[in-house]
Amino acid sequence: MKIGRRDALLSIVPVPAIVLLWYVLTRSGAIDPVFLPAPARAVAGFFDLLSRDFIFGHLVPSLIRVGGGFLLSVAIAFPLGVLSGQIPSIARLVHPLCGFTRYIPVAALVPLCILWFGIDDGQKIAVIALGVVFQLILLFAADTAAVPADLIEAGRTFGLGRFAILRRIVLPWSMPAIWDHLRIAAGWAWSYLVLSELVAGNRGIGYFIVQAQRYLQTDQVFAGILFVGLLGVLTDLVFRAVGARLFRWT
Amino acid sequence: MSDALLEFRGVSKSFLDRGSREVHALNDVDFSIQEREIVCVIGPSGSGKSTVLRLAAGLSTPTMGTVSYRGQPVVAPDPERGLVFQAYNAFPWLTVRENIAFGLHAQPSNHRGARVEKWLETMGLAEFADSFPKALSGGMRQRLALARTLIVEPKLLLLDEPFGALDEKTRANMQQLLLNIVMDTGCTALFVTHDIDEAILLGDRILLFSARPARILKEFVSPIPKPRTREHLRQPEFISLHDEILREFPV
Repeated sequence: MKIGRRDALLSIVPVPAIVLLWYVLTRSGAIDPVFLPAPARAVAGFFDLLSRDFIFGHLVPSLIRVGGGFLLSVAIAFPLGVLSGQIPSIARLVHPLCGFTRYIPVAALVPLCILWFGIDDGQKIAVIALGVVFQLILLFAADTAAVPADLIEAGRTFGLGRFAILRRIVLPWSMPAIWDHLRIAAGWAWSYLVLSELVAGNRGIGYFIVQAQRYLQTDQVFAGILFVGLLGVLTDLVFRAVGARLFRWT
Repeated sequence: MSDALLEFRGVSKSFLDRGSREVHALNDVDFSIQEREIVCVIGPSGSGKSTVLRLAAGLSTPTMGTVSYRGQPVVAPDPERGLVFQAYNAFPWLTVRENIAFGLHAQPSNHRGARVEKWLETMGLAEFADSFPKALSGGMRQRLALARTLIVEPKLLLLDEPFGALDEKTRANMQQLLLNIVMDTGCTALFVTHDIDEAILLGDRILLFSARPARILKEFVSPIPKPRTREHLRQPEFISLHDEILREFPV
C-alpha cells in the first residue's frame, strides 16, 4: 500500500515539474511568448476551443475520419488476421506482405494518398487504414495462434469441427488480447489522423493546429496539441474500462 | 469381429518433438478393453502413456498398427470417447456452469439445464456455478473437468493422470467419486496413472508399461472384488499386488 502510494506520487511528479519550468521560462522573459505562451494562456486557449466553430468545424470531422479509418482497418484485419492465425497457407500468403509494408513509414504514403484520394475524408481514412491495417493483421494472427493446444483438443473431443472450434474456443480465448491490440491501434489511428490533416485539407484538429501556427497563435497550437492528447487518453481509458467489464474472467 | 470396446493391435507411434527430434513413444502395443471394464495404464513418467489416450481419443493416429473402437478404426475424435486431460483445462472465459454445459451443444436444449444442475450438485460445484475457473482450487477444477466430460455420457472415459497434482485427501475423495460415477453410469474407463495404489484401487486390470518406447511389460488382474473402496488399501491381497507391481516397475 505504501509502495503503491509512493509510485503514484512518483508518476505525477514530472507534470508539476514541467509546468513549473514552463512557468519560469515564460515569466522570466527567457523565451518570447510568440514561441512559448505562458501555461495559463495555453490552458485558456484550450477552453477557447470548446466553441461551436471548433467542435463542428474541426473536432467532428476528425472524429469521423479517425473512426472511419480505424473501423475500416479492423474490418479488413480481423478476418485476415484470424484466418492467417489458424491456417498456415493463408499465413504464408499474407504475413510476408504485412511484414514488409508495416515497415514503410506512414508519412511516406501521404503524398500517394493525396494523389489517389484527394485532400478530403478519403485521404485521411486511407492514411489511417494503411498505417494500422498491416500491423493489426499480424497482431490478430499472433493473438489467435496462441490458444493453448489442449483447449482446442478438448473441443475436438466434444466433436467440434474447425469452424465451431474457431467460434467457441479460439475467438473467446483470444478476445482479451485482440481487444488490447485494438486499444493500441486506436492510439496509432490518432497519430496518423493528425499527420494526414497537417499536410492537406481545410478541416480537422490537425488543420487547426497548422492554421494557428501560420498566424503565430502559439497558445492555440498548444491547445490543439493538448486536445489531441486528451482525446487519445480518453479513448485509451474507454477501451480499458470496457475491456475490464467484458473480460472479468482473466 | 471382436467384441472389445477398444482394441490396440500392434500399435507403434513416433512423432517429432519441438526440436524436430524423433520420439518413439509406443512400440507394438496390444491390448483390448471390454465394455464396463476399468483398465489402468501404469508406468514411468514420460513413457508414452498419454500417447495411448491420445490415440484412443482420436487426437492422433498410429504410425503402425490399428486402434479400433467397436470394431471400427479410430480416425477422429468423437463425443462417445471422452478425454479428461492431465492439466485442468477448463475454458477460462466460461463460468463453471457454462463449462459443464459446453459439450451439450448437440443435444436438445430442453434437458440441458436439469443435467447441468445435477452435475453441479454431484461434483459439489453448485456454490461456484457462476464463478469463473480462476476462482477454483485445483481439486474443484478437476471435478469441473470431469463433469464437463461426463455430462455428455461418453461410452468410454479416457483419463490422463487426472488426480496427479492433487493433495492426498482431495485425491482420495476424487478416486472414490470416480469409482461411484463409473459404477453408476456403467461406462468403460481407460485410466493412466503413475500411482500404483491408484491403479490397483481403480483398475479391474492393470497394464504395466515400460520406459520409452513403451510396450506392455505385464498385465495384472485386480484380486479385489467390486465395489472397491479405499478400505481395501489395507488388505493383504492389495499389499501383495502392490509389491509385485513395484518389483516389476521399470526404473
